[in-house]
Amino acid sequence: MIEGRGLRKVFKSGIFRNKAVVAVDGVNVRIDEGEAVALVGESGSGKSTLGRILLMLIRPDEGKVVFEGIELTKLKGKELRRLRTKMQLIPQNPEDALDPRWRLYDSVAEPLRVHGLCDKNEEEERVLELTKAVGLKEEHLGRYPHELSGGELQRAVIARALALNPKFLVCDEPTSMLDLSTQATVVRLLMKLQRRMDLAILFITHDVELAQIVGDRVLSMAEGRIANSVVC
Amino acid sequence: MSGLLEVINLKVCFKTESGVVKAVDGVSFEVFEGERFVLVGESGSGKSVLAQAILRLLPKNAEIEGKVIFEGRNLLELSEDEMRKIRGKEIAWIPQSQTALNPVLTVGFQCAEPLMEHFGMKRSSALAKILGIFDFLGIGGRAEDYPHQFSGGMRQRVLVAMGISAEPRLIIADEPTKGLDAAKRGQVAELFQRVDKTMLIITHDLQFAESLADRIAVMYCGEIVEISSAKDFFSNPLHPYSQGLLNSLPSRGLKPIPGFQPSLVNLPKGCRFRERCWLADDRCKERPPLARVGDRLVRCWMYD
Repeated sequence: MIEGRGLRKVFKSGIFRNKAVVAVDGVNVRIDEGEAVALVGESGSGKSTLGRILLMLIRPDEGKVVFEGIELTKLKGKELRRLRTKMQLIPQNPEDALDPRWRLYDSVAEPLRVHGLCDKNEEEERVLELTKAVGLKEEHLGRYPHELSGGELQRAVIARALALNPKFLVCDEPTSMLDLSTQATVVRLLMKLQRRMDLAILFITHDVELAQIVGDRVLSMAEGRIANSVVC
Repeated sequence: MSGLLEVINLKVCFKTESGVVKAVDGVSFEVFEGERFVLVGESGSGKSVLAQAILRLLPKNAEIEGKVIFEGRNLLELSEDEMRKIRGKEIAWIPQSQTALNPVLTVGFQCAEPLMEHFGMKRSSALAKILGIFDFLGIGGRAEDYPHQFSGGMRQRVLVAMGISAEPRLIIADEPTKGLDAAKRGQVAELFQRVDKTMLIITHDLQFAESLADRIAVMYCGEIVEISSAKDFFSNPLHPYSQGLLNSLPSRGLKPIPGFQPSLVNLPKGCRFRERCWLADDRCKERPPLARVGDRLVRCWMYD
């Protein structure tokens, strides 16, 4: 369903752009519909960059990204934006992912508003439905991010990511900032939703054991390359 | 073995707008000479507050009760001047790595500071001693560098160097593996093993705890619910919360504990784990005592 071919990304820095870091170095990756693929690697191995390239949040220097037969790397602003509804990101730190001055309701409803998909009543219905799906209570919706725990925030972030019925989800170390028992709860929730909605997931983590539980397949990455691929 | 540090019925409260937060509620334990005592707990369990209360690093609005006996003296009754002589010299504090170092001083100088402060050593001889410790910890030759030139794992080494430089009797480390990835966590564990000191280590990282603890205490909602030797704890945890915590490890099945941790302002009466416990019955409406089971302690009616 989503495929990256020959992906390469070099980050240049320094005054004369003379320092180069090859973050992703010739990667081929394919994720089928409803498949959960876990991507493991140490910090700096390029796994987050790869995740963001597949979402087209970072443009690759070389290679192409194909989503449901459409070559995303050829698309421009507006066309790409339409397809973005189908691909979403769950970032690492839920505290940074939500606007601290918005109530949770507005954060969860924002994707619906941005894409102009429904009117006020439908919006409310949809937000409540999402809230229930991730195990939050209605009263949480009126609160601000600082009034919630890390696990509750990450649930809200998941609700927001699912608001547009995506087909493909990139989870970039979604539990590395959470407590152990909260991690178990959030990961189990993600796995349940993945099956129910038949989502394709790229689950990025540095925990090999976690990767083996979540992934149908586990890819390991080192120095910008896929070093190993194991079917679980 | 004798207790180097003894904490007796320690209570720490904070008065806030929404009510009194009992961050630590009647905690007692001993740390024996030469052992590594690891305090595990999740966020909000009160473990960091407990450590800071021992060294009296808490803000003024904290109300502290109980006793902290270190070498025969109650630290909570000492004057600020006497306390300053203990901090860094007798008891070292290794804080969380991200923000603990001064960005505008070289790491060598920062580590030498306790020596100059507590022992009146000259800068040059203090630095010479630090260079030896840096070599020992595997960061030799980096003393002239600044914190931003170090990675997270390296900064942790600097903090350890600073902690052991004055050869303290006890080291208290607060979440030394926070924000590090799996490989680096292993390195920190190795580092701590190499430092042969009495340690009180606070962490939420069970794998890290397993790799170096002699004894383990588990905190939940401001209370200690279990104290066991590390071996017993990981092979046969007694308290239902300890069991739940271990079962939420990915290697042990990633099974979540049902429910949420209650707010510290509005704690359930009786056993604090009651509402999430699959074994709770009527007895649990009363607060269980810390019962002795062999050489282990556990706060659950099952073992009474």
